[in-house]
Amino acid sequence: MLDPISLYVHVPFCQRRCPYCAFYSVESAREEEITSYPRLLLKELQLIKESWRGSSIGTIYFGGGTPSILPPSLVESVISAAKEAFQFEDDIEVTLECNPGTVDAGKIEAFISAGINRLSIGIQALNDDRLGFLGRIHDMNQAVETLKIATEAAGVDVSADLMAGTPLDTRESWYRELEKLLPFRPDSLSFYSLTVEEGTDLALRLEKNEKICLGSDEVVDLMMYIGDRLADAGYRHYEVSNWALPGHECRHNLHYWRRGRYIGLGPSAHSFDGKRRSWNKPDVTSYREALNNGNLPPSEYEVLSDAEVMSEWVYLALRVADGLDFGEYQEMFGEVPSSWKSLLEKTAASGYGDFDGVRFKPNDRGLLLADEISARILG
Amino acid sequence: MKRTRNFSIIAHIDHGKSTLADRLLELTGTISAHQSHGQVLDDMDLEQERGITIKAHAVSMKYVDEELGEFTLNLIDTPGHVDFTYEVSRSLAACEGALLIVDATQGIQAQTLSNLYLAIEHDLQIIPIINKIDLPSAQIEETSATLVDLIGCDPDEIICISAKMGDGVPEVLKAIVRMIDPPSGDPEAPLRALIFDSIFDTYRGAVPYIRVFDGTLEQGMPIRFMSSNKGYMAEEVGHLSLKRVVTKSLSVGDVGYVIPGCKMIRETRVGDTITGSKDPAREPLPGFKLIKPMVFAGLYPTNTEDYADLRDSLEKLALNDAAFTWEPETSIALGFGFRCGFLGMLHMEVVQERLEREYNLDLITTLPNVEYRVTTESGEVMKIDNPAKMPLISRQMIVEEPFIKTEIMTPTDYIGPIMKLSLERRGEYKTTEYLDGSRVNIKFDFPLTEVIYDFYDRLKSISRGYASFDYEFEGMRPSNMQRLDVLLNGEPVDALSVIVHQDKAYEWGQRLTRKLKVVIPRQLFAVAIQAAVGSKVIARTSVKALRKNVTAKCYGGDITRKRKLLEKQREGKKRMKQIGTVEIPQEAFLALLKVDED
Ligand SMILES: Nc1nc2c(ncn2[C@@H]2O[C@H](COP(=O)(O)OP(=O)(O)O)[C@@H](O)[C@H]2O)c(=O)[nH]1
Ligand code: SF4
Repeated sequence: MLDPISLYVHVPFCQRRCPYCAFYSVESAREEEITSYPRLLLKELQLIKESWRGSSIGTIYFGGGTPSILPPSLVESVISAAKEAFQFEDDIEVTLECNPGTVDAGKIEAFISAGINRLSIGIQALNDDRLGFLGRIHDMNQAVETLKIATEAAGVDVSADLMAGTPLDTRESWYRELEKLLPFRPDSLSFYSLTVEEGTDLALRLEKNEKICLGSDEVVDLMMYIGDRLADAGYRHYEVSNWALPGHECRHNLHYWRRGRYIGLGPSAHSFDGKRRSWNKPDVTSYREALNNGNLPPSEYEVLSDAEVMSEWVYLALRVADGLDFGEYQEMFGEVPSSWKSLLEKTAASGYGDFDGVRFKPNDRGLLLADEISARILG
Repeated sequence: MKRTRNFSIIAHIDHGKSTLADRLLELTGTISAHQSHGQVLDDMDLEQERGITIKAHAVSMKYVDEELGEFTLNLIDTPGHVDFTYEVSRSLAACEGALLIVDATQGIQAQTLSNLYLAIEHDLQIIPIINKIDLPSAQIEETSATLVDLIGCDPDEIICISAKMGDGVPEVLKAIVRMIDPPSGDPEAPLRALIFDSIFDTYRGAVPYIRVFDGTLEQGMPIRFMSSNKGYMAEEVGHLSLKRVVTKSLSVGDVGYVIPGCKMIRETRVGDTITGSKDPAREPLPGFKLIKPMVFAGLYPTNTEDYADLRDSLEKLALNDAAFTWEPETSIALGFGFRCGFLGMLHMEVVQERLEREYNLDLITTLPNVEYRVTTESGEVMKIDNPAKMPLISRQMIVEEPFIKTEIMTPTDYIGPIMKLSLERRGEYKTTEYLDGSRVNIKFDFPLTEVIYDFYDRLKSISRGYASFDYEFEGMRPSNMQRLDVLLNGEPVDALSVIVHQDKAYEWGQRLTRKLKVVIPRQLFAVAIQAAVGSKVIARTSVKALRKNVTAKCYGGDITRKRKLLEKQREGKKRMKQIGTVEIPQEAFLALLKVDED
């Protein structure tokens, strides 16, 4: 019996594009375009289900874009279609990304009835200036309101996404935002640091010498501060950008980091069967065209070499607090390279984590250096 | 013999030597105008790019003078850089005359002057030429006055030309056959031919370019190089037109080539005399010197796997560069590599670039150094061409360093700053000669080590590009030199050691540590940088550890992209040299060379 797989459902619509975002999504799409979209997902599901026959699903994730734009009934139709096509694990986790400004209490209730049991809320900031800088559609009151509704609702885990590193960020601003956020006791939290991606509005503004994000050292200082506050509040830093109350880690994401198999539905979504990773046509139009011609939408794929599997495994392992285990490595790839031990010893001794000779567990500081450590280890 | 003229062109870089040469070749019908799309004489890519002539070449032309009839003109090119003074002197020795070209907008430059003196020493007839008279900024009168002062010629003898437009070029040809003496020599005497250059032909081996002074060189004749006394056979002889043109023999006054079937260019030394084995000459032609490299540096492959490739490339390179030497060495920090010897810094840069470009190698070059002579208490003499091998100097030991004689020619406005720079570089002032009201020639003796780092660049910058510079080896002199070591995280890095004058150790220590701090990127672990003489640390600084290198998001769609990014980072790291746990970018070694002055 293979491990359960995960299902990712991409919803590429946003009310308005945020200036820092490099994800593909369609801005202010017509009502009709949005409501007709889930039918494409169902079509794709029908086309691919054969090749995943016999799989059971452990987690589903509606990501975006802004999935909370969809009417709950349509979300439900996708969930039921998936249930028909595959088996569901009893403890299935079904997450929906949900942006303040697109939901009210009724809609959230309806999502829950549709089968959603985890809401990931795009709070980003609890400060109107920072929200303005980030170009979000919501203000602080809406963010607080959405948090309130979600955390009071029964039967869902709530996660909140926040963005650090705008030029407006200070330790004091974060102190106040955390003071507002933590009393809601979200089950899990993600903190991302703002990066300037190619082709975004921010990149253009940076070119004009506008101050767009804090320096790397300043961001690190903030992240360390935030990390300390979250630890005090009982959250565990379980991945580079993710914290959770014990037992409330996002299982869908953990599945990615453990290199589990997954199906991605929708434009630009990726699927992975353990060796082969494929990705769909990048935009709605070409995705729709492919499906209407009765074709499978994947546009490209790669088959990983053994060395690539190994390097993915290593860098993903170093991104999570559980870290890199020599025993697990040996089982999969054979002898652990001889240089690793002394390098990890020195890494631990430099204050980046713990190493007991067989497992290296990065701490807050080590997680921020995950890529550096990976590159050093892989040589 | 009477109808032959052998001449060189003496000119500063960019004063128009190549352009005039092209015009001469065109006018004599050696090439057609459209063929000379540029600069026939400089045929290596690098030479064209840098606008310098590295190797001397030669070309023969047939010229029919309206009054005097047909002549063979042999133009012998001279390399145009300070590192190659000896080669220049051998090329000049092969001639009876020289065209002295001065750019009317620039005036005469130091190197031109020293080459001019060389030519006068060799009794060459000088034909003064002022070029670029078509330019509005041409200062014909002033330039002409300087030339008259300098060579004592009649103002009327000076030919004013525009090599670019062709004006005046026919007059140059007329002057060549009228003013320059025909070659002289004894056709009956035993053969004596001067090697003024030697190139390497992949199929035929070394091909010396020669000028016959006495006797005749015939194809098939057994010959001998007088400096090594090695015997060969003249497999082929010929003239040098644009290509090699085979003939039966070369006689007195002729310029041409011989193919002796000799694999190593090293055996066909510039300045050597070729004679016949059967009836050898008693004395070689004067002036032969064994050229020795003056500047040394370690060359290491960035990737240790490329060691064998590097060795092969050095071997090939040495085949057609007689001045370049190499031998294997090992460094604790850099592994297996080679200690290479060069005539000077430019020569080093050229070799380095050829290795990287033509042979596609990724190299680490250590800081260059000169060769020191150390005499121990027991009287043992050691030659040190690698700073890492310099012993700790005790009071009973003597260290000697090479000194050079230099001439710096500059407009008088810059005398002050040049004096200051020269004293900073331990220069020993000799004399100042006034060339005219506004230009001087200042003579200094310098320790060679002081000019191999950025001296020339500094000289150019403090004189707004006007000062020029030339040098010649003078001799070894005792100096208080010491080895300065660099330590990274407490470990000495042998490849970063330098030898410096006692009075400059502190300054160098500061400079090296400061430079390293800039070029060593922040990395996983902090890096402590120290400079030490013996066990005494004289400068220290550090590179803080990196704090963040991670992408924030890594979900389903990011994993492939992320892996590719990581592969790129790893590629980047491969170009770094790992010393202990410290990662040093390969540029670090050379960045040290670009010494800033603040
Ligand atoms: N205006 C002008 N430019 C010239 C003349 N002779 C040479 N040049 C230019 O000066 C530059 C250097 O000439 P080149 O022959 O390469 O100099 P070399 O370095 O001495 O061989 C080139 O750009 C030539 O085109 C001339 O008589 N008049
Ligand atoms: S809402 Fe999210 S997906 Fe949409 S533009 Fe903003 S950041 Fe990007």
